[in-house]
Amino acid sequence: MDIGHALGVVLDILSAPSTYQAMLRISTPLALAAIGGTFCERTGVVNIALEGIMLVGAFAGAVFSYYAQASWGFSEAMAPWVGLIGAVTTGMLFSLLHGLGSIHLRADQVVVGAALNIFALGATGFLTQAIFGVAGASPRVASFDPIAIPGLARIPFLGPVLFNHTPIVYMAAVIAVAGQFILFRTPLGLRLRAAGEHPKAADTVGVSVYRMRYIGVLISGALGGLAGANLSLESVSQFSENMTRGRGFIALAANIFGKWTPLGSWLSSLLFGFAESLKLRTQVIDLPPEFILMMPYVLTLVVLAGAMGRAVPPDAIGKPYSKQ
Amino acid sequence: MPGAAGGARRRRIFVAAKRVGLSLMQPVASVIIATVIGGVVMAAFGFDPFSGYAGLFRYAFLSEFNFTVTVLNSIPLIFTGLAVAFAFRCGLFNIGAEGQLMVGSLFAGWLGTLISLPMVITVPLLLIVGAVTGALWALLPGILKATTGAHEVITTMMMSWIGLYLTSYLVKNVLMDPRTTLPASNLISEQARLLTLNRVLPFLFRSPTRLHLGVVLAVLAAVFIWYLLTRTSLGFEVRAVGSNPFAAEAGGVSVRRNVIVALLISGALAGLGGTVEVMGLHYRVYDHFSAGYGFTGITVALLAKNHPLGVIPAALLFGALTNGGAGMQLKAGIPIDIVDVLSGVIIFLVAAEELFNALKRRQEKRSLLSRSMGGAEIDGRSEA
Amino acid sequence: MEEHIQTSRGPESADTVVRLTGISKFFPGVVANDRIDLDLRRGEIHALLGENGAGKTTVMNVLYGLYEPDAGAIEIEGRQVRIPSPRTALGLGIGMVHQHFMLIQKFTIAENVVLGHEPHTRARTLDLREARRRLRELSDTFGLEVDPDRKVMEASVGMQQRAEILKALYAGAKILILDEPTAVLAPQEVDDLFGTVRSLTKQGLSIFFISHKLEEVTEISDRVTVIRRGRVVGTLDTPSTTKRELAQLMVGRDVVLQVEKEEHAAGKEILRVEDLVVRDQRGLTALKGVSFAVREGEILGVAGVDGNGQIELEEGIIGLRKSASGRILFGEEDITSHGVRGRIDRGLGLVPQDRQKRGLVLDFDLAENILLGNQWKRPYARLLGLDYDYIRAQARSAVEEFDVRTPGIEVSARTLSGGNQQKLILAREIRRGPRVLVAAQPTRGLDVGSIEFVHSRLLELRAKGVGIILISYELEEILSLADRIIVLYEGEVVYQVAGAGAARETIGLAMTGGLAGE
Repeated sequence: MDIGHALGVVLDILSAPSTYQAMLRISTPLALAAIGGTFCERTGVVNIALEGIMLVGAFAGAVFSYYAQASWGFSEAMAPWVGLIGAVTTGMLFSLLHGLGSIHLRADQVVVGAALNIFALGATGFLTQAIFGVAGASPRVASFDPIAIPGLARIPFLGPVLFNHTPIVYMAAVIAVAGQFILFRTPLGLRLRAAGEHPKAADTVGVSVYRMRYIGVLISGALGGLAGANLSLESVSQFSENMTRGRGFIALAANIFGKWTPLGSWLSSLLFGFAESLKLRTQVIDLPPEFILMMPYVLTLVVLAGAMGRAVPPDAIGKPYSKQ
Repeated sequence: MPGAAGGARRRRIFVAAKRVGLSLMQPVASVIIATVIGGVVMAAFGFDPFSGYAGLFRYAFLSEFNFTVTVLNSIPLIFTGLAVAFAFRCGLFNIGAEGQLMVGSLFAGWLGTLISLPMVITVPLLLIVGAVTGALWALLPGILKATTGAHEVITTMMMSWIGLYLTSYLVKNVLMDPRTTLPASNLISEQARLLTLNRVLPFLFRSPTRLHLGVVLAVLAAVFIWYLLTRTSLGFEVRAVGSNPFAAEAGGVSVRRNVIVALLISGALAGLGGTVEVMGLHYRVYDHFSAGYGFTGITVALLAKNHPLGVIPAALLFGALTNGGAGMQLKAGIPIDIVDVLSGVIIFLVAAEELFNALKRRQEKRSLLSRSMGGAEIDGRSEA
Repeated sequence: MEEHIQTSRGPESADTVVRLTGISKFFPGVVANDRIDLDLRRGEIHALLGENGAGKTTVMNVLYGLYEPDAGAIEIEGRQVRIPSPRTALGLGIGMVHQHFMLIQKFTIAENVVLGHEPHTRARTLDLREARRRLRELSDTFGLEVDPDRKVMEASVGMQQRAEILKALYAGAKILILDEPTAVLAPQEVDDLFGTVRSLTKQGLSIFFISHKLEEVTEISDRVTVIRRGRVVGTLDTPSTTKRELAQLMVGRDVVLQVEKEEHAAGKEILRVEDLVVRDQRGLTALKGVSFAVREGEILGVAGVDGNGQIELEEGIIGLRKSASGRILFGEEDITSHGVRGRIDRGLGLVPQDRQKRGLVLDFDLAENILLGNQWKRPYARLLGLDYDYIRAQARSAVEEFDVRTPGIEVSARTLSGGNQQKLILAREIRRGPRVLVAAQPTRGLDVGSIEFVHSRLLELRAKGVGIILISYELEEILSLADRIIVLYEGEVVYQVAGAGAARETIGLAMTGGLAGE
């Protein structure tokens, strides 16, 4: 491959609307998990269980959608919505375990997170077999179709890129903006951040640090669950074992790169989404598939190497708070 | 004071024994609770926990064959357990032992298919190659952590995924014999294989067994790491950094150097674990051969409270679980993933130990203050 | 010796705003408060005097709802109340300004002041404009000047303290607890604070003033309650008592207010610092070209208010922080490029100001803490490993020599009290035989007995010809120990004087920048 050819390939990729469409699509689970991580870490709780929460959410989404359609009488169009609600709720319940371990029991937050990841892997595998009788993956479930926004979807180039996506992709963008606003422009956001910067100071003016931290953890549970739903109900239409494949960790890096802000997390996720979207272009790019699949992880390393030091985490992050 | 040193030594042993006993209580309790929870989960889905656990026990221990498999399973777990434990003692979470293991075993195994020098040379050489490659795979995360503070959880995990794809590519495209369909390398040479124990210790093992020298190597590694950690200045510095890097710095310890060294040693141990598997059991490099040894190593390390010698029984437990778990699946239809469920619960409970630890420390302080010579604080009515 | 002087209990009047009766508070192994009776009258400044660790802050924390008392009752304006949290306390009109500021560094002053009671618009967003307005109103009423939009980490210590007070006032406090408010101020700033406090009482506030400093208490308070070892030993009208009487009550015996320091000539120069520039955590220049020298057998006192570069000086000399420019000469040798280990090897020692963070590994036992800083040396380390018999023997003799109260050396350093932890650190550093010792805040938080011990050890070292750099925020300590004094202000040495001829007023002036530019 000479330089001319390579340049041509790059231009080809960069000018195709499908590239950006894929970027937006693929970045969605990362963005949601990353924003969840942002809220959680801003209150001072490290959450490396994002991977496990996403996995649990993906599983729950598939299961709820399946049963909604098969047993609870929902139509194929409505079932995925049931799945979505199931995913978000399960994610929140699962994250409560993280909260319990990290906030109440004051255990090492990284270890608790790792425990939950391993647990999630085992539990989803176990339950897949127990519920569906098949190991490794669930059967096909009802999933979301892209919703084209009338009018806007017909704008040349931008239309298909921005306005023809499955619902959770839209949600991600809205959540990013809403999250930014909530965190930096409301009293609640001020208190959440106070709990992560100087919990004792917050405590002495009457802000409940425990409550703020639980809110942070639950938000990460909800958004992580939603991210999982995106995987099993939008990317594909089923749950398969370990389908998150490290995304939860990439989301952590996206949060760091985004300087612990919701908008920043969303934007960084776009970058990672771009890297991962290249795997759809293997026919154009002349590299072995394994190397393309490696790209997001390599990119994460590069990003981390550069971002650290310039991005400052909340002061009290990772330190359990006790009143005495 | 005559006898003071002897009396002090006796008291020291007593204190140490009490400490060991107390600290054993917690992991044991965690395992028991996890077992109960696992049983409840099984029952909830219509499986019979009693026959399940009975099957597990039978498949893990009963019969020489089963016991052999259990021990064989534990060997890589001892190495990865040591890897994670050592890093933890330096305050680092090496979650990427899986990748270090794969890379180490790949390069060692590859070399093993190529050379056939006398065993005395080949075996140590391959072990070194495996350890060094594993260490190199942890080098980048170590440097990133030391210089930029990048969290090793993310970096080692990324290296793990990269390692997975890299080894997969190499096995399928370089090592594999193109004429076959098996995604694995050729067999390693005779001289590269670890001897089975009936050849090394014929007086102990009369009949042929698959148990190989790796067992001995694993135990030796555990002892060596224990000695390194508790009896050398390197180990002291590593532990100081793990406990309080600020005070360590003020005591002339280079935090950066120790972080890198700790991850290098950790990676080397993981690499050795994979290498020993290839050289002692499989005799070739498979694509995706690791059954999650790197992650189970985390559970093993935490269950052993990051104590190098404690890693041995913890690894045995999980070797038994994995083996027995397979049996459970076969006989009672219980998905083997239940082992991961148990792992997660165990780690969670062990992590919650901080609560017990903190309580224990306060208890220690309270009882000491009441006995100590200057501690008049209990009774404020002391003489001024 | 049970003295319980209560000369000013007075009648139960409607003018008693706070009454604490029989307050007791226990922590594991410690009785922090033992049946404390205390009352506060409207408009008065009531000082709580006691040494470090006496329990004064604890009882105020109980009043503020940070702790729940194990026994006793609280009355506010005659009504009995329970105060389970600061929220309740604030609701009752009680505010507290802590010794270590409870301010969020990254937030602005306005955000800090309104946290917990944020004004919001109808759209539920944070209304910072309203916050600023209310803040300005309060500022003007009470004369507390602040810049609402400045980030706390960029504000001066004085402004931070004013922000803390405004925080309490904003929450509607009528009862104010000030915990060692002058700890971070220079003498002239203390006068400003006292002015503020007096005007606060004129506006109707009632104030509890916690301090361990006699002069301040006698100057500012209307009444003073002395607390010793968790119990009240007396409540007196300030005008009718003397410093000596208060000191006796505080400590329980006649206090030696001045240390015995023998005259002796210092030797040759052993450490020289030239134009040292050191940056702080945030990358800002904290030491801006400092130069001084220390001689053998002399104590160089570094005076100054907290936050003027002392930490950077301490860490720059020992090598924990790289200097941006400048030189450090030890004897004849330039050690600027050496790391901590190299400097320790050459005979530099440090008793750090943060003893739990820098001085000890709390989870290690005493033996391994003694090993710290020695772990590469013979005979601690041999060819194949560490010689723990030797290490333990060293630890035992160190504990004995320095009177560290502990049942053994196998316990973790965490179990030691503050004073004993400091003695352990001293033991380790002094026994290494340094030629220069940097002692930063060596007696902070210690009781009088431990303070005397530390001071006498330092003087012993001085007599043996060791050069000592004593960095302290307590001017009294420096005045009583130092042979020569330099004053650090905003990272520069603004004044130098021989200890004998030092005038408190001039040094105080230097500490607040009154001499800068000379």
